[in-house]
Amino acid sequence: MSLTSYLPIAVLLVIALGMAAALTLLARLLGPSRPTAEKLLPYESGLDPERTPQLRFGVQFYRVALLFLVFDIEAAFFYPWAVLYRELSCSGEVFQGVCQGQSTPFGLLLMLVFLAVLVLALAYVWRKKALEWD
Amino acid sequence: MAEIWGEPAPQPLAGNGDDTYYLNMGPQHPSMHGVLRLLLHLRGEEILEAEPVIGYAHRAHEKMAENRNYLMFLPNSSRVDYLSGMIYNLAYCQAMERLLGIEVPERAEHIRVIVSELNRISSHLLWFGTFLLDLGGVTPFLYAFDDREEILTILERVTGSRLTYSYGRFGGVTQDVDALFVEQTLAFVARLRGRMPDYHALVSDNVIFRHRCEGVGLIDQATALRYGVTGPCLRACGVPYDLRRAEPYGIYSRFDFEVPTQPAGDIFARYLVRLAEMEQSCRIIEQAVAALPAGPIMPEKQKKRFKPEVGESYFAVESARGHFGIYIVSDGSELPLRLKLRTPSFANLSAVAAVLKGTMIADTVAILGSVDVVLPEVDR
Amino acid sequence: MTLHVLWPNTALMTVLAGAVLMAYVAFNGMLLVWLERKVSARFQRRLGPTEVGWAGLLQSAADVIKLLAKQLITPRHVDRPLYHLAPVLVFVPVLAGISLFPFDRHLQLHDFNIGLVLLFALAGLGFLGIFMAGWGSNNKYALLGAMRAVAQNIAYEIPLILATLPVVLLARTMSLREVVEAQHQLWFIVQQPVAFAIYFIAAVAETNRAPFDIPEAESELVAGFHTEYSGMRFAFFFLAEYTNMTIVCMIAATLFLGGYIGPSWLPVPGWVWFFGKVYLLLLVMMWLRWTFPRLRFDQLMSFAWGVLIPLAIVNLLLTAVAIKVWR
Repeated sequence: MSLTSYLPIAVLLVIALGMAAALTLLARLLGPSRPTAEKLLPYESGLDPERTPQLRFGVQFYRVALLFLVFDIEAAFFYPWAVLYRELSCSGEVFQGVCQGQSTPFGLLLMLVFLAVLVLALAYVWRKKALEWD
Repeated sequence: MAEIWGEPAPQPLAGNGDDTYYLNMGPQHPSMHGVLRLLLHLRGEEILEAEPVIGYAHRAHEKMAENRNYLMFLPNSSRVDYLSGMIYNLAYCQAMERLLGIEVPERAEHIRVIVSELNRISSHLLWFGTFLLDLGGVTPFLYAFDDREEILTILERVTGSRLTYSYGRFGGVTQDVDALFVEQTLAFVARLRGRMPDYHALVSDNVIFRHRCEGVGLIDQATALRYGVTGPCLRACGVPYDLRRAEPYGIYSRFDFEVPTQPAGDIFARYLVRLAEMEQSCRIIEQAVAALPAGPIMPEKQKKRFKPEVGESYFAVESARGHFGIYIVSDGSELPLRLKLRTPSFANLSAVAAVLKGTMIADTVAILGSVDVVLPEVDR
Repeated sequence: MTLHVLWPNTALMTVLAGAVLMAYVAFNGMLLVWLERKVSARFQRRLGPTEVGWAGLLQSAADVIKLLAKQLITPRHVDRPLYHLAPVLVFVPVLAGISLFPFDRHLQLHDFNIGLVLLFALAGLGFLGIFMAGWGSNNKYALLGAMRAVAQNIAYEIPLILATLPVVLLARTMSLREVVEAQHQLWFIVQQPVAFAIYFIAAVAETNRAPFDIPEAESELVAGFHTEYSGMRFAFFFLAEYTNMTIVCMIAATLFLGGYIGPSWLPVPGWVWFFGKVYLLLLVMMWLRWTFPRLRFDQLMSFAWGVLIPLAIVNLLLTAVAIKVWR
């Protein structure tokens, strides 16, 4: 499939963008605009915020983000495997030359190795208590 | 604010290494039960330190008492804790009766017990609802308020008000109750008993609820006693201390009821204690209704002006939140020399601050909710 | 092999289809808000909206007008580009996402051979918007909410994806239409009940719905990442949330419940089946919201990493083995 088939998606995105812009503009036209100093204060339970929120933050969040990168990309690799699973099993067409059409659990083994890495990583992270929140 | 203090320029990371994440929770926050301000020192979601800042609902009730005569303070008394206004109002009357040496007729005593216990149930129901709201469960809130509405309707018919009752007078109560009141009260008791299994099914047995409550917000017995924690919070640490039983006032010594306790001291224990207390209140109400005698609701000789002898009086009752004490010093004039209120929420809140350290933001709300703090009572 | 069912081959057709979808998204948002109010009211023994229109049906329309006429407040010291772009970025991908589904056998904008992956990719864009909102708002509650939102969404995206994999294994395709076509004999929920359960739980978490509404937990973070948004900008977040709910339910209906396929002896068009299933699942989501209290953040995270992800991996493994054994 060529890249041009994604064009409708791009068109839809543009339409949505236009819609969002139009609605915001409409709201700006219809709504009043009477800003006061208090109204423009950032909300912090009715008090003046003492300092900017963009300070050093808990490291656990970054840890989760890193873990996610690993796991999500690994999970994404599963999709093509899942689609081609039966073809990978030697009886299919992909590895026909390798194992001469025998029904071996080749695709399964392939995935098991991959999954082992994933599970091992999860177990390691678990042991290191990186998933516990304190 | 901004106009007074100028532009609130947000500080970037200070060079002195103090990069603690400060978060003001309250005074204007959905779950600060009034206007408590908690200054949280955070590390991510974890609370390193929690400083409660009080005083946003200070109305100077004690000072007001010194500037008005004894009778004029009656409406104030029910506004100290607006959720158990009846109990506070009657406590003030009882304190004055002790100071003045007034005898209360039997019928009035029984009515006082019935309306006090109704008030206690309504306070517990409101707590149940708002506590679940703090935990993110909206539906139990509306069920609890539905039940509470019944109590408010019953009390409104008798006292004329729904929240801040000035029902007591020195020596009795203002209005007599009728057969319909008795009927409605018993109907409510039956209704509440019917609803309890639903509450347990919807909330007590809920997996998420149990996870949020069990083992969280532990107040151990020593901490509780050191901070002077009273009421359901103390009974949830395994101390069977209830003024209705420990130092019976009024006619409470006549009734057969239990003081529910739980050993754990966590949020769930406090929850269970309150739910069990509602049932005990129902039992007291039934006994008081059954024993309700005919007769006057005020003493025959009523005074217009109250001038107690020189002296002092301390009277304590078990409010929905714990030990509520009134200390009155009289110099023989029509105005009290000093009137001091010992409110349970103040001590309970102090213990909360000690417990919050090391918990998470979501726990803050749950713990504070479970202790059932009424902020105007803390500030007075 | 892709079936070009309703290929908008002209620019006009594409724009027209986009406009129809846009209208559906807006209508669906209003309908769901009304439905949520009615459902919650019934759960809480209330009536819900009754005044505006029949059974309060026009209440949502009234709200839209109200939101349009609200003042747009931009608090001081916000990071302007992030602050203004965030609601748009949250809202835009959901429209593209909803266009990918086969609503009926012959009613699909375009069937991509990687439809499922494309859906998750578009959903991923939304989280970016949420984080931009939290970071750009210059508000501590918003930032906390955004941090929670991102941590939660990425943690639950893994079981979500892992739970869809067995279906791809069985259907041997990532195209949404072909997945539906593979369910003529048997809906995949029968073969994959565990995967469906994992998917649905993760989906509720992905849409920040109670009991997983931690990023906007009103009793803790006031309004979470959209604390500083008002009027129409807030409405975008709101609309995006409800459309996201619809999208995850559409995925569930497509992957597990046979999409537009219903019992063939019933003379009911396919799109009725499809939307029937979607709205039934949406009702279940509302049922959950009005029954459960909220989880705590660390409990939520350990539930994803400790329960859902291992379970999903085991389920995937068993499915792969079962396919081998039965062959």
